[in-house]
Amino acid sequence: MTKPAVKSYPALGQEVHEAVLDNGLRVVLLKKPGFQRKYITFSTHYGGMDSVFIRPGESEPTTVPDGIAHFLEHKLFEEPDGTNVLDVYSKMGASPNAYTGQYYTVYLCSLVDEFRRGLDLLLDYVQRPYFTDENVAKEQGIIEQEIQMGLDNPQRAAYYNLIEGLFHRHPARIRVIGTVESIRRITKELLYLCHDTFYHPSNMVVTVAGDVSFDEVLEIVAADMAPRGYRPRGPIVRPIPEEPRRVLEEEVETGMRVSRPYVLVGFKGRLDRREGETAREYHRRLIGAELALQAVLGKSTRLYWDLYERGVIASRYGYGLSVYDGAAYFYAAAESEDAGAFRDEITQALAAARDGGVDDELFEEARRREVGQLLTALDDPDWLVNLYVTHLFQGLDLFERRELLDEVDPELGREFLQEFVQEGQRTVSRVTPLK
Amino acid sequence: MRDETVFHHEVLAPDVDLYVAPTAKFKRTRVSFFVHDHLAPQRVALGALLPFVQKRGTRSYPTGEALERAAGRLYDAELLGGVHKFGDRQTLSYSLDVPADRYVGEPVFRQGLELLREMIYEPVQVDGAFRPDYVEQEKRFQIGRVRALVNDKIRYANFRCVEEMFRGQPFALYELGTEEAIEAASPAALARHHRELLESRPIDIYVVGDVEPERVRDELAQALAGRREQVQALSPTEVSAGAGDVRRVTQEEPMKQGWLVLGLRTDITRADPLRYGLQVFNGILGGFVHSKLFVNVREKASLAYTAFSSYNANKGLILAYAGIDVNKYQEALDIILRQIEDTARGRFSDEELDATRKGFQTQYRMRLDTVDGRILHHLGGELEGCPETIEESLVKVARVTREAVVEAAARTRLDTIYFLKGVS
Repeated sequence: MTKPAVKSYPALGQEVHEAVLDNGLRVVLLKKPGFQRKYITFSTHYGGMDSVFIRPGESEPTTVPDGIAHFLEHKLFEEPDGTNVLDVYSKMGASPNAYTGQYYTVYLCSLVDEFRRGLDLLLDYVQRPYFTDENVAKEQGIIEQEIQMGLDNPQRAAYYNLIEGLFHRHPARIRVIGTVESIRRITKELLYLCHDTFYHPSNMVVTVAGDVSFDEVLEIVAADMAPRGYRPRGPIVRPIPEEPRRVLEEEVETGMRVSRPYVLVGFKGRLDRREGETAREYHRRLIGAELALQAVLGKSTRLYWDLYERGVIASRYGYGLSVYDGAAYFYAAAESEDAGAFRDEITQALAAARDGGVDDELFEEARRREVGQLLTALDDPDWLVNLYVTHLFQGLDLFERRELLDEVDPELGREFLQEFVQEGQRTVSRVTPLK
Repeated sequence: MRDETVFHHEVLAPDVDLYVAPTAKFKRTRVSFFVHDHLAPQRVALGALLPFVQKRGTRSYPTGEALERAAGRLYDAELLGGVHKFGDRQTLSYSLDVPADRYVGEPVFRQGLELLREMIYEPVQVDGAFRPDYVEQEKRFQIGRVRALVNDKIRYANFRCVEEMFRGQPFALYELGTEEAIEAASPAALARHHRELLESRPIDIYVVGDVEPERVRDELAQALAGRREQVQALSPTEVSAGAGDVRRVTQEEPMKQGWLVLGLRTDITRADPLRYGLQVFNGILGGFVHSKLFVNVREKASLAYTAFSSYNANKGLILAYAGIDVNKYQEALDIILRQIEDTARGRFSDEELDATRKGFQTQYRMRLDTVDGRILHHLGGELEGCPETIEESLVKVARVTREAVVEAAARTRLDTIYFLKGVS
């Protein structure tokens, strides 16, 4: 095991403890003095995008049905004796849950008492899959309902259309939940294969946020791991297909029973770490991109208030940036009766900042807002751990952010806009009311 | 060690109550300001519109943009305005959420408080009325929000069930009002409503964060108490078990799933000793993933992804709901009815009872870790004249017996079976 290390971030009032076990498992404690709640997670660097991969030691890629990471997440809760881990936790007065993203699956439990038992149980059930033909068939019924529920949701439907319009073949276009058709192809053998590939400790991290000691955390985790006899393993290769610069479709539209149209305007580009760039430099560049978006699209801009006052933005305004290996995109979204004006004015504002630079004052305000947001996240263990884990799996250190926020400059934002805001890199996805 | 669950209470002005919980646990500080009114058809739309119009600008920051930028410069201070329905009350809320001064090295709390004060007491006005253009725009948005209710199927189905259950009563009102009432709101009427609420309705102010109670009291007494006229007491929420015959309502919507909602009513008020018995009844039925609905509707029968129930203690209302395949309506309904019946008759194990009590205890203790949890826990009781600390609630829920659950269930009736049926 690496020597347990503790880092203190006085500007954030946060202490972080960390160690890596011999089998590669990273263990982290985000200390939360005075908190009643212990928020524990066990996460794997594996998600909806990982439909094609090369297993350690093999040379040929394996392809599995879309939606399998999320399906696997559902199935791990079930025990051979017919009981369900959710139930066991719930009876302890603890709240268990799990979620699957594009490149991560997080199993979590929030509890006040019985910390040791709760963590033991988490470590155990995640590493002990139990799949049968029957329980796989049953889960297909439940997940079908979850898929249908999502398809009734206009924001979700518009988002699927956006990612499928932006990308030709990059796995960023995959729906994490899969489709009714794809999940029907999932079998217990495929589930075991994915579990074996991605649930190796070297691909995982245990995090605890709460008022506990790191010695205790380490002791519990080490005692769980010792008898399992993991062997060291090489890395999993995730082949990334070459993604064309241009989007697949520039306009996508679908009709639904909604009161108002909903529109997403997305731009794709690349935001990969460059040759020779340190993780810190890369992280700074990412923050520059985030701040630029806030300075151009945020709620302090003339653009926003102009669209708002004219009623072009009716509600649900938002924007965001998603960055993956080999592809990235950002979007602005709103319910709008005038999707065309929304699309055009958002694009014009982005193009103006691309050509003329990002407004210094708004960039500075965005920087201050991000400092405030980071402090907000520290008060909310769920959000904090999610940020920590997603940063970790992208090779970034979340707690570096506070310092990097003092180092970013608006020029980074302009560079980012020059990469993304270009002809042919935009997809507009709309959900319009059925007549 | 001081009891963290207790708020320091002070009366700042007639029926203006201040509750302060000093704590260094959080990186941010919250000030929440609540104004309570009775729910009434001719008032609900005006009340709900107010916070949105007030966020459009203040005396010193006369546009939404200027106000937003002022808050952003304070390290993402958030000025929030909203409206809630607590029992037969409409409650308007205004809050400030700002980083603690020591993490940003600037006196952002005081500056944020000034923004909040202006937003509440000195919104931008012309000739004693709100700006007509702002009012018109916010009316359009509000009407849009009312129409958008149908987009969120769970919320819509639950609201429709409540509307059927309490038809003709204030509680049936949608919290934002009707399109017609919003349409009719004028800048002058809004200004009158604003003045009336601040001068004559009960106000509660909560502060949670790294503050000194005495200092915060002095600052708030000046800033937020305002002018008070004759204060109008609000009558308690009406809580009754209803007529007793079950109403069935089915409504068709073009969607893929169906939502089945069963509404139950009781005469157990929030202050009633059986209130926690009913809370545990709801918990055993559908409050958790170990509960009967989740286990039987979802895990055993695979009929739904979502299957829960919720308890509104202020109104004495339980909603059991599930998102189902429309062809499985009868099967799902039978299973849900059986779970209600079993729970009401005491057909649950000691383990189920124990897990439910524990589940609520955990929920309550977790409220200590969030600012909203602390505030809303206290406010919910305070509104019906029975405020409790989290510590007190913990003790009460731990003591609930099987008999109390059955007794509470005996005073609860199935009122409405509502089905939002998806059709292609």
